[in-house]
Amino acid sequence: MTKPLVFLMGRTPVFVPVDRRYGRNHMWAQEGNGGFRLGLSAYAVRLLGDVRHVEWSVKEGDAADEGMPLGYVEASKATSDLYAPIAGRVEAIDAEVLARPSLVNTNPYDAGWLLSMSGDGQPLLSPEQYLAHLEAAWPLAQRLLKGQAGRQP
Amino acid sequence: MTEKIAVILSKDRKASPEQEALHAQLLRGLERRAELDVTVLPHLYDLAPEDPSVQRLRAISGDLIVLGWLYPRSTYWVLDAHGVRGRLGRTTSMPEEDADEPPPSRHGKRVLPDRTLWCFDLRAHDRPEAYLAAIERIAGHKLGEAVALGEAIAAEGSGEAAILDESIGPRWYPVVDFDRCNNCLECLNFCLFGVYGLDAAGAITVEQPDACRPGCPACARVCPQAAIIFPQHNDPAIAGDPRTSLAGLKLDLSQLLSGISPSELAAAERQQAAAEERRRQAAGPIERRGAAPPEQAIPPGPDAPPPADERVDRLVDGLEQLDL
Repeated sequence: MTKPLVFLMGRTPVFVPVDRRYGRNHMWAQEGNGGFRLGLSAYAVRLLGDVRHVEWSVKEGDAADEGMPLGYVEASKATSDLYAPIAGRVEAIDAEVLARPSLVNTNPYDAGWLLSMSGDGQPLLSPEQYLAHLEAAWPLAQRLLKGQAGRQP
Repeated sequence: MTEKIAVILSKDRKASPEQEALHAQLLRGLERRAELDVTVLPHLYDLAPEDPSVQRLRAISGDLIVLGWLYPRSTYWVLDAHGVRGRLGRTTSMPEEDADEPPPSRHGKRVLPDRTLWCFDLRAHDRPEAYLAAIERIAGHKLGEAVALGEAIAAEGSGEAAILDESIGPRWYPVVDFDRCNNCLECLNFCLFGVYGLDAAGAITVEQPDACRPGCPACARVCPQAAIIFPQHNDPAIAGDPRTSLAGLKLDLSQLLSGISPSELAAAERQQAAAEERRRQAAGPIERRGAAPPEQAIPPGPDAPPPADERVDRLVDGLEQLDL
């Protein structure tokens, strides 16, 4: 298998596998039969910390616009809404992650997948583009985090 | 003789029956205590410098207890914006008050008068007892000090509250937390509406508060120190909730994981505000309280952000609805 790309979050390397594409919302998308399997990139997982709870406000068969909120994740360090990286239809929701959210941490790029969507995947980025997106957005992401964290160093 | 202790009860913009009931109960409790000098004012944030309420606030030289419908930190900095300054009082009886750590020392430029401003958020409890107990403790402490000094607290007068019920319109402007601000001037450079300016010493000031676009919180998002407060914004972090800025509390990554970068979000909000301003001006001048009549449309200068694409607009709308 081709070696993954690496992004350095401070001193912590996070991996960007090259066998799939990425949404600007830090989800990976792997094309298979009937659509894209979606999950959180190691970058997003690292920001969240230990994932404790995942829930969806959509169900299988629902249509979704790109950027539409689909659900919610709660983790040790942060919470976040989860958004559709592409426009399309929700095909499947991973029941195993609902039962064992820690799969997102132990295996973010495989068993920790979240849901699958059909669609043309038009806005998705190549691994190289995603890496560039991470590099460009990192100073702002840090600022947002520090802003939220107030006076934390 | 020690002066009476000033207590300000600041009403909400449109008080609900429940809020009115709390006001009435608080007034009954406060007026019973002759050592308190109670004044009822309209919403603190909506007051303008020339309003009698502000004159009255500025005339108070001693300790001040303020009950209002804002986060205590917002109340404190709104008072600061009105030229009413002092140390921020801290009470243990109202733990909500104390969530924030004490402000770090500033670069020595803010000289505070030797008095305390006690700020209470009336949204913290729906019953008056907690507030009255806290005020009693503060008053009791002052009384103790006065007794130790061999002074008596003024107790003449009816104890009846003075009510300054000016009818004033809502305002929208940024309030700067100068304990956090490091004068980086990002807000000055970012704002399209000329809200910010510099004072003689080169420090940031909110020079034209009423030039601010109602609803636009963009400068608060670009502030690296999270020092800008819009007390009436939906997002507690922008409205001055100290708890959203505490270590150990969970971050909300929704902005990051929506795929929209903070700079895009802020730029889109600014863009939206500019577009609204142009529409507003095209529709003819509308008197806005305290605002100088706009003389020119917002120029789409070289500094203007690129047209926000539809996706960004949609995301901004979505984010606003989500009440992040």
